[in-house]
Amino acid sequence: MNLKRFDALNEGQTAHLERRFSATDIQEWCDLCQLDQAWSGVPEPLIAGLFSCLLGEDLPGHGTNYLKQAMTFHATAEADEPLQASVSIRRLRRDKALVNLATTCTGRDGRLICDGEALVLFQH
Amino acid sequence: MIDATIPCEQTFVLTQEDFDRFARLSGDHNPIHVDPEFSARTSFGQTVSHGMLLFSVVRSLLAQNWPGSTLKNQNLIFPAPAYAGKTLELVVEEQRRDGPQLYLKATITGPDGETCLAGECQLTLPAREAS
Repeated sequence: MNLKRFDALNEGQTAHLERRFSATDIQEWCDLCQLDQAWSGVPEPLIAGLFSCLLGEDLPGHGTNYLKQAMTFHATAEADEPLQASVSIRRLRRDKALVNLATTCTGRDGRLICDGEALVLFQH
Repeated sequence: MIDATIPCEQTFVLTQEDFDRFARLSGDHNPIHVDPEFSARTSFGQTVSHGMLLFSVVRSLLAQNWPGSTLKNQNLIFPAPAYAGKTLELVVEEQRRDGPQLYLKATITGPDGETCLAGECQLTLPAREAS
């Protein structure tokens, strides 16, 4: 187990991204799912995809093995609403190379869309 | 509408094109999902689905079976990788119901019986129309 990159992580470390989903993006998701119905707002898997994107690309980054995600949805994100997603390290378990992170997505004026927790394995 | 047939099941196959489309939508272009040459050199040996593409399949089945419902909570685990071109089976089962709150369990199983996704969720059903 190579923990060189794991050991560079710190509790409290946070990564963010900003994103808007257009009506075209939402329709593309419906097409991808072969879903023959109009969707009101941003589908939850696209919100979840923001966390997945941050975990895989940024914190911890490439090589992340996504084990678990829990989410509570507080409000529906609207098309074109500016969204900010963040992941923040809550706990590092070096013996198992596990990282627990808090995951949050907020919308316009900071309204809470989704919060939850992720668990990833980060070893090389 | 509210008394959808439970358990509900769906068999599906994802393609590399599906992985590429979800990568564009999510912004997650991790090579393990989109670069077959890179992925061939990893322990997986080939590209694997984004976990949230699997969740997309679950979410759309929920929307088809319980139109107008709202997803309140969702827990997901991804024990095994899901590969392109393989037949996957999604099963959604009811755990319990409390008024308009419906608690469901979803499982996606791969061709060798491996669990690719296991999840639990809470759906709020729309108010029954007066009849």
